[in-house]
Amino acid sequence: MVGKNFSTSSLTGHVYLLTTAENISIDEVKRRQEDFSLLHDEIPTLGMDSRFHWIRYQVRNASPDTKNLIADIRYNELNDVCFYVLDSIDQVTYSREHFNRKTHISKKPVHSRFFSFPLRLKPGETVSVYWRLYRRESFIVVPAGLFDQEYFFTFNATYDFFLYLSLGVFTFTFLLSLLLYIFTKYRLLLLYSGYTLFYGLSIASMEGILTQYFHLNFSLLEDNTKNVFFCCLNFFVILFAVHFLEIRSFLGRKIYRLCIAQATLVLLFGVYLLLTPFTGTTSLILSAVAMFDMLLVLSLVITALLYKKRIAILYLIAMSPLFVSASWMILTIIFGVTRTAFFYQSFPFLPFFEMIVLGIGLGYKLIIDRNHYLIGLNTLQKQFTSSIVNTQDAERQRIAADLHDDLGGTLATIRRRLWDLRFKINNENLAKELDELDPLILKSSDDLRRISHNLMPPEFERIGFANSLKQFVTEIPSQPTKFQFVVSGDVQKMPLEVELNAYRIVSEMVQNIFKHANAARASVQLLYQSDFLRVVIEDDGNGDKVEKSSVLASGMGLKNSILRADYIGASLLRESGEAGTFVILDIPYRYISNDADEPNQDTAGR
Amino acid sequence: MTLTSQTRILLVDDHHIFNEGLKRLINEQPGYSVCGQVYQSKDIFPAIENLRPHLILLDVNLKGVNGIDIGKRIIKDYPAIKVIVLTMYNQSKLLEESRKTGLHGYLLKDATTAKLLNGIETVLQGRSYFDEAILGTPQQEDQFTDTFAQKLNLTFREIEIIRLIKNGYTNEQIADQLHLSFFTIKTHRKNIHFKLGLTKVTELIDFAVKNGI
Repeated sequence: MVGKNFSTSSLTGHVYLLTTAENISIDEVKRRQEDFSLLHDEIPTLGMDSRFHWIRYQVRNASPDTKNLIADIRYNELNDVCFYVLDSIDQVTYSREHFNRKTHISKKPVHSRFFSFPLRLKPGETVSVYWRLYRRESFIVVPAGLFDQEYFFTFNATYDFFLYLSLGVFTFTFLLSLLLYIFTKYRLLLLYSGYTLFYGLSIASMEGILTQYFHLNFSLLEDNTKNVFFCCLNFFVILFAVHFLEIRSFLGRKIYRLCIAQATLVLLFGVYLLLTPFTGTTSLILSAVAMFDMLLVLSLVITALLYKKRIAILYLIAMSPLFVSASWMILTIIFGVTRTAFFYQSFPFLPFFEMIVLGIGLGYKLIIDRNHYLIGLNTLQKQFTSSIVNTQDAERQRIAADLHDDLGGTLATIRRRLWDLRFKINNENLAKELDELDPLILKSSDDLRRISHNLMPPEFERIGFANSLKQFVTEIPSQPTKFQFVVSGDVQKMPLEVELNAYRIVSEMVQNIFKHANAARASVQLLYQSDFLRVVIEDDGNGDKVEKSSVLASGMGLKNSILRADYIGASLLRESGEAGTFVILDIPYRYISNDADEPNQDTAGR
Repeated sequence: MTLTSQTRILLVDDHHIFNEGLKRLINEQPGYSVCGQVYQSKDIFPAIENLRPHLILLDVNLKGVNGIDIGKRIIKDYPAIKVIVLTMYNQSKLLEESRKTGLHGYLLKDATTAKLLNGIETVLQGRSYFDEAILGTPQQEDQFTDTFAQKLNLTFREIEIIRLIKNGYTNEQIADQLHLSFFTIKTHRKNIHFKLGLTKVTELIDFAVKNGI
């Protein structure tokens, strides 16, 4: 019954079905009216039996105007569709036969990707509409509908607008994430791009876009097109979920491998579908596999939630509408559960929602991972610095010990033996010459002590930073530079590592002044302030000239000092000008124990 | 210790050549004899127990063990034995520690033989012998202890800057005058205030006038 303001109807409760094994003609069907039975569902799903399904419903124009209507079945997987209109005395007044999923849109009486036929009813006219639907070896969904012609085009335009919008977003997301992957080599981005690509292709083929507009003629794909895409999609869905949720970190390698195996299996199934002709059985298997995969992903998400992975919440939100919808669809196929028109029409748009939410999640993850990466890099750098510093220190310690303890003792013995010798000699001249040797030995002894103290101050831990430094500075000959050493504030004991590195920095600076600065005066100050130690080193030499001539060794020393300062969390500031060099080293007392000793498990496994 | 019997000296040093040289030197001295030579810290106490030396010449660096700590134990367990630290380390801090601990002397290995023998002699006479040369100049030491001197604990540059501040120069002018950066001057002023415990410029000027800067 079509009234004056009729726009659309899903015909629920008006559709009758007759299924025949053999192909019979419309005339025969007319004679078997009593064999038809009423379909109760809004969107009926018919069996997988390669039989011929006859659909019948009556339309009566109850309005005073002539009505231009469109009879429609929004399902494009059919292999053969015939459409008949019979008048009140069962005479065929309009018939169109043998349309299929590949019939080009231009050859259809109504421009639609689906099966749509015009129906023109005069006021008070009643007609019977017969459809003959055939699909090879698979189920048929019958979203039968009746539209007012105007409304039909508005509805289609709106539907297509949103469909293309979502496909556009898929395309954009696919290209963007692929591009980002090329630049960042971040694996999730690649998986995400595969995810979006095959989602887009699955929807496009489900909606008949590929067959209708692009007229793909791959005989390999044929009826399996959608299913092949669907297998690829499942492959990416599993891989994406596995890496997005980082299941390896909490479920272990075994389950991770099982998931990868499942994904690979689905992909191989896709290859199989690609190479074999379409059958209802494979289609059914795919539905079951898809259901399994979806449950797998869902269980991964829930497990991740149990392991308190916050990112899983986002995943759950993203997949829930599609999960509900897709499960429903699969249930209708396998168990014949009823589905509604709303669900049927909203289905292509649900992945859009999922993609947006996951996209947000991915962005969030990228930022988090980047931070982790930077932290990891920082740790690595610290480890590197620490290994340089420690190797250097160990080496210096060794050399200092060799010099001091071995060579020093030997020199002292030589000195004493010479002294003995001197008193045993009666020859005055020879004795005098031996006397002249003594200061030389003493000098080498002093030099050796200075060099080894510079390498590693003796008993440093016992003597401490301030006293070792004081000893070092006051031992420097007053020519060419007179050094002043000042300590102010309450001396604080810092960890040995900090004190030793601070000592090395200062002694490096002092050596530079002594060797290169040409300064008359210099000073080293230790200002023990309330929460940090400030070391001020200054001279009145020709700082900038030294800088320009850039003595390689001192440049190396400076780099080394910067490394050491960084290592102990100190700030090193150096200013060099025509009136000398000014260095400030601020060392916080609260030494932040560095992570280098205990590498982060998270970043180490990366 | 009688004149008839020799003074027994135990040498503790892991440096073989030095240990041998020292033995030779001491044995040449009338009245002294080296009763034993120890090269490792673990052999020290058995040697003391067996040889009962009058005096021990003790190195500080004994492969990870500190000689001063060992000396401390020796004079505690054997109060009659004299201990002189004989080391390459001319560290005033170590000398001070040896003195405070109650050890009897501190000498450098490369000291003249005369000084070494003098040290041994002095210690055997019941006094202590600490090589004053190691302590450095007494003026330096005072800077650590004397509170008034510590107040004047200023560097050459800081004195220059205080003088200019006293004459009414601004930071920019001081930086110009001394060819230093503005930042350097500001840092110096902060340091000066920290050291002198001052907060105001007027206090600094007062300080400068009072101390004749």
